Amino acid sequence: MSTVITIIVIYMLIVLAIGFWAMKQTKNSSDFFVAGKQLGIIAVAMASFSAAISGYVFVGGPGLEYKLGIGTLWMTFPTSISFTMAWLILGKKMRFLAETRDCMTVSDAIYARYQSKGASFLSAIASLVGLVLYLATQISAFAFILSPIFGLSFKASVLIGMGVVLVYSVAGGMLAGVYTDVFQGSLMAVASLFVFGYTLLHGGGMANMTATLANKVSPEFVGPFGLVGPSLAIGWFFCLSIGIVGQPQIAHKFYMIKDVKKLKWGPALAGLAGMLGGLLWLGVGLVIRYKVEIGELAALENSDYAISIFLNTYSPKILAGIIYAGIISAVMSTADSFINLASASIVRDMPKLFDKHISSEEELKYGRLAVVLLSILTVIVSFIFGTKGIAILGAFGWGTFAAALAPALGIGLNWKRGTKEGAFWSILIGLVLNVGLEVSKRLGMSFYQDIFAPLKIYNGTLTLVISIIVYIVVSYMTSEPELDHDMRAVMDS
Amino acid sequence: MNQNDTWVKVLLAGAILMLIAQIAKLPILLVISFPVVMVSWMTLGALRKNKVGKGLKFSLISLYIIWTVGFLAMTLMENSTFNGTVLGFMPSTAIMIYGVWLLPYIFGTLVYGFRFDKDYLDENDIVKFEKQLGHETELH
Repeated sequence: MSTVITIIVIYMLIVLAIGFWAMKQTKNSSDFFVAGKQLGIIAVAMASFSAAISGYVFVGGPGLEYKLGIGTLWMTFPTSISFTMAWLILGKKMRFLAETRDCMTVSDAIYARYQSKGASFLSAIASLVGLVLYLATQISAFAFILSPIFGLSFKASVLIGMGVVLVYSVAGGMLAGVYTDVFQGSLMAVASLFVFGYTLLHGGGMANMTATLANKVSPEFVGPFGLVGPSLAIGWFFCLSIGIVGQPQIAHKFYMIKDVKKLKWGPALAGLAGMLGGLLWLGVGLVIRYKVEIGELAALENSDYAISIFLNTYSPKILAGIIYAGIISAVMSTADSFINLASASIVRDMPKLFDKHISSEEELKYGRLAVVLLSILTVIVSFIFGTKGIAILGAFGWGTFAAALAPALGIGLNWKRGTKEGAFWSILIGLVLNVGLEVSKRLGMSFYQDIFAPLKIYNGTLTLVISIIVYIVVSYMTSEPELDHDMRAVMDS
Repeated sequence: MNQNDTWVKVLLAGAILMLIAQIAKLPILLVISFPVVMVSWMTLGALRKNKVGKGLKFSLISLYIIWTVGFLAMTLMENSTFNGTVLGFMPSTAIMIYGVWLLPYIFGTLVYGFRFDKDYLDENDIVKFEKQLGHETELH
């Protein structure tokens, strides 16, 4: 374990050095929230990859696969195409929009498109809700990695993780997160390939693991839908692919690109990294379940420990150290991005809606204060939901964004007939329905058990589909909007 | 005829079918309808000057076929009995891994990159945008 800890310490020093450098570069709110709009494509692609997966894939994914089988991979398999969807549907429009308005958040884009304070306010609320859920996912993943290494309880690890992220975020803003993503994202993508190799080695090859698990668990476990069934699996694939256009942590990255023509190879880079991360999910979940089934390991008390057990038991210490440190820094950088986005919602979006203007320096000051308050909220959510399954918690956050924001943003920027009423009702219904259904599910409420549980579907997909229908139907039912000439230029591009 | 309006109507039809499929527990209808929603939405993003470029059109048609055929095959194949492996996985899982996961990267993501200048954005688009805007930008 000393080798692992040494690597983690060295790795963390590099990450903190990046954070310190970023702090020196952060002089105003534009630097803090959108990295000064000066990023190259590698930075944007790797930051998008890290924002889309990180702790959710590296910790939650293998745990979920250990429990439910190969079908859980539909949560990560969208990465081969989802970045292309985001780039194709949003990339050009969001980047052009940044040239016409002072846009830093998704709510800014919603306001620019619809000239509606109501829709913009709701999108800020949706961003806040989803971002806190996502933050809790990251911090919980951090805790699952930290607790076995240092022998700490889950709650103590959550507090330490949040503290580290807090210092990092308050100091470096978005720049720290983005440049850490470039470093750790590249390393994690390559390390995932090595981990996958070791899973094949210790499992006696994929065919052996497949045959053993088919016989000892069930053929469905290693079938394409695992133990979850086709409707839920397809639902995951749908919502986690096209739902990307509603993710603020991806969408706002387009504001940061320096040269619009660099949008060209972003999806290929981010997609490749995402697919390598998917190999880690595939290999680790299967090999740990295989080892349990042949009696080599005891059944896991919590499936989210699958990655820790694999690294501690079956991989070289250097690789384990790199993966542990990579996950920790992935969590730090991703949480940093989320926390800064959420604070942007509080200090930029909310005051604007109430016609309160605050200076860039005040935005920076209050933004840092908002980060502290959000951290406290995140710790509470982590305590409540963190041990229930990281991948599921991550999917809750993703589904909330998708249902609330994807139609208003993804259809709205490509269809002039879309109206502010359509956007308002789509965001409201998507947000309330998704959060309502997910909370009802977790609380085991009888109406959910009677009506929705038997459908065996993913709430995010159901609510996203309803949100799409609401957006289009309400838009057709209300009068065609008169677009500002700059917005028309963006949409004609 | 505005192509965006047409594709939004296709998107709406696909979404309604998806809703019915989920509520009525019809996985086959879900398999048929979800690619319609994904491809029509991507088409909205790919439209330029009211049409989709050749390369992106090929890409979108390919994706539609991969998703529809791939998911139909996986849903209809027998997954409750084990009859050996293909390339390390059960036959239906092999379709999932090598078909539905890998092929979209080749036919979707890479095609987007290779056809970017011809089908998605070039210098003329930026010039036209600036002209419509009435001032220069930092897009170059």
